[in-house]
Amino acid sequence: MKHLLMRLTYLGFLGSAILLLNGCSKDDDGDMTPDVVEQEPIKTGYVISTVGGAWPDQTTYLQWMEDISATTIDNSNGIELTGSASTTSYDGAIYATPFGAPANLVKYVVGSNSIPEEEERIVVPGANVFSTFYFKSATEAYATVSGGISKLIIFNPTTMRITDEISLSAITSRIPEATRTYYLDMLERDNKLFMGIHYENNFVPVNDSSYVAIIDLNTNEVEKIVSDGRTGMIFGGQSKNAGMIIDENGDIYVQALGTTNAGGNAPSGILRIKNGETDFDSDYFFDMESEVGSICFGIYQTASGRAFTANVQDESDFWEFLTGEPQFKYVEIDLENRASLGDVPGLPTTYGSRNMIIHETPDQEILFSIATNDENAVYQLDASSGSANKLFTSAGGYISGIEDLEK
Amino acid sequence: MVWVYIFSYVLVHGQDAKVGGTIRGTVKGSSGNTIEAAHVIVNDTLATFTTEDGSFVFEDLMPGTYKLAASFIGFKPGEQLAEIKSNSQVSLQFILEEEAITLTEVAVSGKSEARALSESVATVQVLEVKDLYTQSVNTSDILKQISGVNVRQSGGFGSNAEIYINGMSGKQVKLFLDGIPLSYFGSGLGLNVLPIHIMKQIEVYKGVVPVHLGADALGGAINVIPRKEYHNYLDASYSIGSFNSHKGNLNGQFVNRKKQFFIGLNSFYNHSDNNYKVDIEIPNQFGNPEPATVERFHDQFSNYLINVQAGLFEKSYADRLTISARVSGLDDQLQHNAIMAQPYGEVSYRESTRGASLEYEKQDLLPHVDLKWYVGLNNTIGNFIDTTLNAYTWDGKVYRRRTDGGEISASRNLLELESDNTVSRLNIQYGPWNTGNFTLNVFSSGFNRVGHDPIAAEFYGQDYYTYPTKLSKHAVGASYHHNFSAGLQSYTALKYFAYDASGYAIQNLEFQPNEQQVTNYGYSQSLRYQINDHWLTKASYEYATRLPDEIELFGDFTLIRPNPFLEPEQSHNINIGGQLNTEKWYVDINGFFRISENINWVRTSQFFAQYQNLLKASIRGFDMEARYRPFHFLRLKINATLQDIRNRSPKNITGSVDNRYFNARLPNIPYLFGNAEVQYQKNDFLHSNSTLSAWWSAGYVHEFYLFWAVDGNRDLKNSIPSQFIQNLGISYSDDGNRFSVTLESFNVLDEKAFDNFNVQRPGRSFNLTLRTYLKK
Repeated sequence: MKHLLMRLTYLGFLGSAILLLNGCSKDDDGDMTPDVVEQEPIKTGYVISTVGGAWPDQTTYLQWMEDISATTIDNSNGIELTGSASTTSYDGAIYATPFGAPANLVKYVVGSNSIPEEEERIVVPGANVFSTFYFKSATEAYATVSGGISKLIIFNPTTMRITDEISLSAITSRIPEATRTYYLDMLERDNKLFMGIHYENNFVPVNDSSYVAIIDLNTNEVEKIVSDGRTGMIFGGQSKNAGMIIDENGDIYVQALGTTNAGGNAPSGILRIKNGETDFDSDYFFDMESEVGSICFGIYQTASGRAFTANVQDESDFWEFLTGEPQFKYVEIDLENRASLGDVPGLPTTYGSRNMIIHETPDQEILFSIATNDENAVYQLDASSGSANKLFTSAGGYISGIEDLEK
Repeated sequence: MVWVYIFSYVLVHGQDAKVGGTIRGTVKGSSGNTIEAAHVIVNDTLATFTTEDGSFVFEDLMPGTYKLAASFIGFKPGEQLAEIKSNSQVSLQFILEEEAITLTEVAVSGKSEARALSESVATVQVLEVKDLYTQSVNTSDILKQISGVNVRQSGGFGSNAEIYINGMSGKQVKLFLDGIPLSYFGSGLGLNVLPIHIMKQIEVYKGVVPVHLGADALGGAINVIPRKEYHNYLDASYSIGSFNSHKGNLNGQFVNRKKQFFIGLNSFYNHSDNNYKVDIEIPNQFGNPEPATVERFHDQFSNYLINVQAGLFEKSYADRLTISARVSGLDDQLQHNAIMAQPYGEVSYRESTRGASLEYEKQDLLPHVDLKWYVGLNNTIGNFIDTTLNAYTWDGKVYRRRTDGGEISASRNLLELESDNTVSRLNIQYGPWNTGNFTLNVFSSGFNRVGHDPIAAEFYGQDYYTYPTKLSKHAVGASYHHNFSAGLQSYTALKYFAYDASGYAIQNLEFQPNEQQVTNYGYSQSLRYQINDHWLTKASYEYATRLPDEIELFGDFTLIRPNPFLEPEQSHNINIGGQLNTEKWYVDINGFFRISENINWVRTSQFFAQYQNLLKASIRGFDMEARYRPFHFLRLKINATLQDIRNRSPKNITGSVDNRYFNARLPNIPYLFGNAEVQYQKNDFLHSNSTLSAWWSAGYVHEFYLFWAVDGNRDLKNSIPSQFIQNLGISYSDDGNRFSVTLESFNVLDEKAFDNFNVQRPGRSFNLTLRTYLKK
């Protein structure tokens, strides 16, 4: 027994020595925690999001810029997210929606060091991504998620706390044969929320109709779902909240992708819900597929009333997998006369799958994001010449967001 | 356990009662390796040869003093005296010193089979595992200890494991069990869950894959050599450990040497709850995530195997003829998504396989012609169950119910897939002269899969899985091995691969039959030069190719769309290395260079994904291993790998507008890692034939970025942090390994461990293993 104890003592010593040696390596760490000094976040300037990287390792970078006067940007001062994310801004903060379960809505503020910093998150387990949101005020905003959670989430964007929920089961039960329901784009008018809906079965539209849900924010209930067979597949646009606009008259215009590229017959087009109404305007339909020439995706309107969409060049390569070439052109449209005003001059054909962003600056300059095989850039429409010129290029990936913090 | 002892008693003592004393023992080399076929003689009259594990036994010896001598070519002979009393047993151990023997012009040194292979012309690392039988270590853990190899797992025991060999991974690296692709045996026998007790050794081929492994590996292969012993034995072990882990192994064999017949059993059952603690976030009532530490709650894993084999050996018509029947399976709960952000509470996968095989081996079937043939049939039924609408949080509670969609899939699944596969490998070796040897290896396999999924059918409108998928693969390899001189060896190989697949694709909701034939070829040249008794050097080159598989060609009928235009992946693999072997030192350094083209990857879009193959990459690096045995009781080992994988894709196929990423290091792949081990072994610890072992081992992986280094603010990048994980173990064996007990602790300092971004691996765990190994 003594023999055994001696050996065990020896082994114990050996083990202790190893543990001790490992412990020593941490002795130098010390307390390096800096004193925390609260600084007010920066609420001016822009946050630009870019998607950098080479396939298959790409992700989103967020960087702050005091202005957009530089001729070239990169992402060397950007924070790195863990996947693709859409962004929007409200009241001096950035809200990002990274893709992948659980759905996350992440609020970033720009710290005094000019670096966007995560302030708070809202998480919805079981859902894949926040699909759309609408900011009503600094204390009230609405969001939906995709991935089978049929709820409209009401949250306080300042505190980032969920304050209430509205069941959307009335929307999902409208079309029982639909295996999946998408909530895409929404805006508020007369305390009613107008939300674009897309029903699909086996990844194709269930029919050739368009659907908009109207939610009464007084009762927090789905008031009704309106549909129209003149166009189908309301599916947003090539960037966040790019499928619906409200003009100065209070009329809501809803852009639909159409179903001709998904085995249906409904053309791509725009429907209208007139001010004070909660039904589609039967007298108004803009057949974009005929007037513009092919399928259009998304709608944007400037403060001065000019409207734009994106138009695919080769419908057989709508998702841009086949040819390896960009397929979308920015097109100006006349909503009132339901006509195309032609391609925006000076803009190259761009990749729709790499986001198409139209942004209007406070001094009413109109910016277009461009992504080709040779450049990632932002172009600016010259009011005098009517043509677009390159404003800046990105060496840090394609532009996926231009967010004005003062907006 | 009672029946185990009854079985062991029958096996070991079931024959005639013994009279007189017994001398048992083992013969080992000075480096600790057991020596098979060593000659042991008693009093210059009674002789035997050691078995595969280096053991020998003399029974029914009359009382008295005996002189035993052990010898083996290349070793200095050893002698010992043993005193036998009536009905007593004496245990001996011979440690033979290596020596070089000059026979006219040829110097032959004594080597184990593993060492002989590692010194052969092949660029291979060999790990003998029998010394690990007493431990509870997983195969993936010991693979990590091999230089040039890294294993990344997505969780605890049974979780997905991706194996890297010199920078190549995934489908580019092929896994084999005795030369047959491991995938044919079903996932219950995946390399990450295969117990070491059924193995004799693990061979890791780097870059150049020999033709007897008949598959289209692009950058390396791992071949597990099973135990093949011709003596009676019973090997039973049971391990209990943290996270409710249980591992039981029962292996036994009865050999009738007179009739040259054997029957054996290999079996195991493993289970773990994998309920180790992880640091996660749980949303509060306002939806804001709050940090918490919880136990994983849906991560149980079990797998099992029962394999019965019977056969004949050393017959005039067959050196070995074996027929085997096997059932195996697994039951796997899936806990979370790829970045451990979304927990799952109910999704699971089950699989069971029934199989049978026939093996035939004969040397000199015709003059100078050796033949090996393997044919196997397997039937596998897999069930993927993802039906719940519940959405879970990390505390195991249901957060809410979804209206549609499963935890993983959009359609939800109650999928059953049944596949039948046949596999055949014919290996012919022809040695017309002493200095050369031809090998022809013909590998063929057939695969037929059909299934059904009533829930997915409801989602998609029809049950796509009912349509059959068929494919057949053929790999033909021919090689010539030549000894130009005592030192210079050459290995030249040609390979041809053919693939014929018929399946279907779903385009715009229409069923479209699809058929593909793909062929390609490869070739390799390897050289080895033995400079002197201690130094040798190797160089090799292979033009390797990998054919796309059925998923890459036909898609998965839902999200992955077919791409019938996929080309085979190709790689130019170059290795240059050297070895030093002395009595106390073993050093192996291998430099490698790869240029890979047409690399497949999944390109995703908003609605679907598709395999495309355009990417190019280069890999440069080296791996080294050094082993030092300053004393008989102490062994030291250290290895390190640097693999620098660089993007060589032109900008137009990377989604980039410039060459910013050209020649940049590929992200999310470890590039610097290594291992170290110190092992202490004391023979005759409490008494003769008892051994005490204690060891410390550690693995290090240097920090690496999740995304490209050239992007983003350097101080704020996402990375997988540097890790230094240490393990401790102590083992005691008695009576010449007949009984052993082992206590181990993995990750003894309870470091946070990550193989993949944000995916936490188990913290500190303890395992106790009991083993008995009875043989005759």
